[in-house]
Amino acid sequence: MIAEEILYSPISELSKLIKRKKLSPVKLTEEYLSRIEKISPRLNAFVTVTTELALQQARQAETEIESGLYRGPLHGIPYAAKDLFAVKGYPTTWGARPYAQQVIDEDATVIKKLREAGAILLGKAAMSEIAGGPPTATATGACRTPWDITRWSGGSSSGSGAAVAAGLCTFALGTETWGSIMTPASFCGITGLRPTFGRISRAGAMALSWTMDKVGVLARNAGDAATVFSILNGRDDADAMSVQVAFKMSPAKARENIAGLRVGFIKEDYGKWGEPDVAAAFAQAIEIFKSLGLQPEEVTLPSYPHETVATTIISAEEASAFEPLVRAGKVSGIIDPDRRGELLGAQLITAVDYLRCQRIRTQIVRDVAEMFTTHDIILGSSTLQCAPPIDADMNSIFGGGNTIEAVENLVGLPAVSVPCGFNNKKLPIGLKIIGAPFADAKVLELAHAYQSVTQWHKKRPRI
Amino acid sequence: MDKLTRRTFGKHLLAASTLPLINLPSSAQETTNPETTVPDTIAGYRLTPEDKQLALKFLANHEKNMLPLREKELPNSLAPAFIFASPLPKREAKSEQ
Repeated sequence: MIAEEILYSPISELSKLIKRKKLSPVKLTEEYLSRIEKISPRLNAFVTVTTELALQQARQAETEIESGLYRGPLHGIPYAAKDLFAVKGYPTTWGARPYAQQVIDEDATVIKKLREAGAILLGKAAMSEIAGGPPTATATGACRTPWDITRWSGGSSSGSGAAVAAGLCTFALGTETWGSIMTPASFCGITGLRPTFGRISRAGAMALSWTMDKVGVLARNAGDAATVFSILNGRDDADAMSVQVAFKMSPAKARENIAGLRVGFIKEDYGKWGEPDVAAAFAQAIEIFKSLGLQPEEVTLPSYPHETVATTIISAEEASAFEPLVRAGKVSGIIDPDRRGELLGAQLITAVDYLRCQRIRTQIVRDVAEMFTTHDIILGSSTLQCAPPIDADMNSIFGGGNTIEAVENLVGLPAVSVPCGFNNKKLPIGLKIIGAPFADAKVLELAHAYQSVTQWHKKRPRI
Repeated sequence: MDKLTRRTFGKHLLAASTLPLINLPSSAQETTNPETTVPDTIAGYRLTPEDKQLALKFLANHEKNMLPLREKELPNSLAPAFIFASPLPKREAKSEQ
């Protein structure tokens, strides 16, 4: 039996053991599968466990490594994928009842890339139905944070966050259109990377909003997120919006590379929208950045109705993406009534309104680019509150504040969410480090530097 | 349009999409009026009374939120945030700075 300690080890440690043949990918996979069987039902973290595929990939990895063929740091590493990535031979449900029987007979590009890197797919992680809505809006039951199973793991990459935090996999794939990586990373006390728009191919992933969807990684720490990103990064002919930009992050030189970064931070109205403990943890994090030699200063966002612009764009694109669902008369299968209303009502958003928002988005992009001429990094709270109870009114949780979240996603900025403390209920708190477009390495290096002087990312829930 | 490079992409990071080719029913145009209405059928689907209420709630909220945006004057030169082609040639791989 493999110690729980190993199951919570980062890729950087596991890969060394696997490469030296001191850890068997088959045994590691079997241990994760057994833990998933035991723990996942309490969290609703997995939709489908790909046992047969996982064991086959693990045996192949073991044989290859035994024979001297080592593919790299993900060889023999077990992971989970949000259930909006197509995996040949298995259901891809998009978290929604109307798609419960859907099988897409092709692997998503990210699944292919991870397979070629020798990673082992343990299963498909639960998600909010068609990537949005409150905790109960999912075909597989509300997904829970392992820190308190009466509370939500966040959305829409709900299972990806819960699975990493519960030690059910080493890392997981997620996606973000607006908050779907940052939120579960924050609620589950793990590290989440949302790369610059276009850096990871979305081919084979469910489209919610073509101009705002991004693929990202949920992991134990920034170094692990960088390792996975280095495999997934790059242009893919199957995703016209993907770009080819080389990526190199140097954990060993992170402290050196962050010297002189011009850091700003967003001062949120925690009194109105947040928790005092989140405000205190953020203030404490600012002090840690100061101890790293940086001088964070308050910045103000350009004034725009960011939320309306983002909401209109997403709703209109979503209405187009899911028009076949409406046309087929299956919209009634969507659990969340508000989402049903959106899917129907957004069919009537005029092209003029949509284009107006896209034009204002152009102005936002320009102004944000201007902001990054004076600052390299912007800091903010990943969420202003900690994981809410499953039945909480989500409008009171996400009803306001965190304005930068809409901006980040409209502009496609890279960000990393890292754990930065706990509230009085022992729930994790997240801090986000946001960079200019394509400054993914800089963002990851700063996150790594932060994690080299803090221990929050090493804390584990008692399950 | 200037050739897009990573640098200009960084400044004008815009995402691509095809224009929404929506054939709006004539009644849909009424949604831009203060009194929001929803047709009986959307995309060939006949709405139930509950569907209609939910769609109306969404549209009323959308209308309310859009009002200040519609009042905002946008210069003719301001294009939507689209990129219709990859911002970088396939073979061109540049390093992060």
